[in-house]
Amino acid sequence: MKVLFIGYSTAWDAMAAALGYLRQPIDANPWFGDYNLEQKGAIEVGVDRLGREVYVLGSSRPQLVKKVVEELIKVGYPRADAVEVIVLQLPGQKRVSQMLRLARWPLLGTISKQYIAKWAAKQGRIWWQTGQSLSLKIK
Amino acid sequence: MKVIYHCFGGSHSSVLAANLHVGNLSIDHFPTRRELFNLPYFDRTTDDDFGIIKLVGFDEWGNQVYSLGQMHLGHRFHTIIKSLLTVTGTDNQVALMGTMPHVNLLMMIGGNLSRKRSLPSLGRPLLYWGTRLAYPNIIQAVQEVKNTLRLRGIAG
Repeated sequence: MKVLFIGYSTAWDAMAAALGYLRQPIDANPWFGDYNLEQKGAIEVGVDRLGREVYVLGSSRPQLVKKVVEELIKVGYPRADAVEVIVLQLPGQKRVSQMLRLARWPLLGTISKQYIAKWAAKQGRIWWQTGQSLSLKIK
Repeated sequence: MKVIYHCFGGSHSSVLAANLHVGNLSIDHFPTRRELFNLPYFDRTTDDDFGIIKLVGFDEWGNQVYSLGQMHLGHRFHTIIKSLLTVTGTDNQVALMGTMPHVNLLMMIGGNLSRKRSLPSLGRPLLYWGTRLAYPNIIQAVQEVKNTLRLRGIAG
C-alpha cells in the first residue's frame, strides 16, 4: 500500500503536509521548496508508521488527478488496496499554484520565488501541522 | 493490458484514436459525417466526463481500449499518471497515449463551439473538416501504439 498526498505543488503544500504526516522536520528537509520537483511525477518522501510508502504530487487540478486515479482503480490498475489518495485542502494552497506559474517567468521568477519562499515558510508550519493531524486520523 | 488515449476533452481526438484502434473506423477512408458523429462518445461529452475513463472497445489481442479527457493538465498529465502507475508497479499494464499533438486549430475551435459553447450547428462542420485533416496523423499515432504492443508481445 502506498499513500499519495496530492496538493497544488509537489515541493510546497504536498511536501510540507507529507513531512508533517511522517513527523519529520520541515526546515531541514532539502526537498521542501525545491522547484525542480514540480516537473517530476510522484516523489517518495518516506515510510509511515504502518510501513506504507508515502508519496507527494503537485498538480494544478488535484481533484481531477484523484478522479483519474479512482477511474484507473475501477478499470483494474492499480488495485484498490495498492494506493490511498489524499487530496489536500489547506489554507493558502491555491496561491502556491498561482505563484508557481509566475516562478517560471525569467524576470518575475526570482521575485516570485523569494516571495513564495517567505510566504510558504509561514504557511509551511500550518501545512505541516495539518499533515500531523492527518497522521492521527489515518489508520 | 489497458490502452488509454487521452486528449483535452476526451471527446474528439482520443475517441477517434480509440475507435481506430479497435477497428470501428477504417484506416483506408475517412468516415462520413454520419459515421463520425454516430461514434460512441464522439462530440458528446460534458464537463462531468473530464477524468472519466470510457471503454471504447477491445482490439484484436483482447486489450481494452479507452478514451479519457485530461482537461487542463496538459503535458503534466502523462508524467503524473505514468509516475503513479510506476509507483504502484502497474506501468507495464497500462499504455497511455496523448492525442493532443495531432489536434489542429479547426478541431479546437469546432470542438469548443460544439461542446463548451453548446453550438454544435456551428462547431460540427469545423470539427468535421478539422478531423478530416488530422485523420492521417491520428492513424499514424494509433499504428505506432499497435506496433509497440506487437513488439512487446502483448496479447490481452
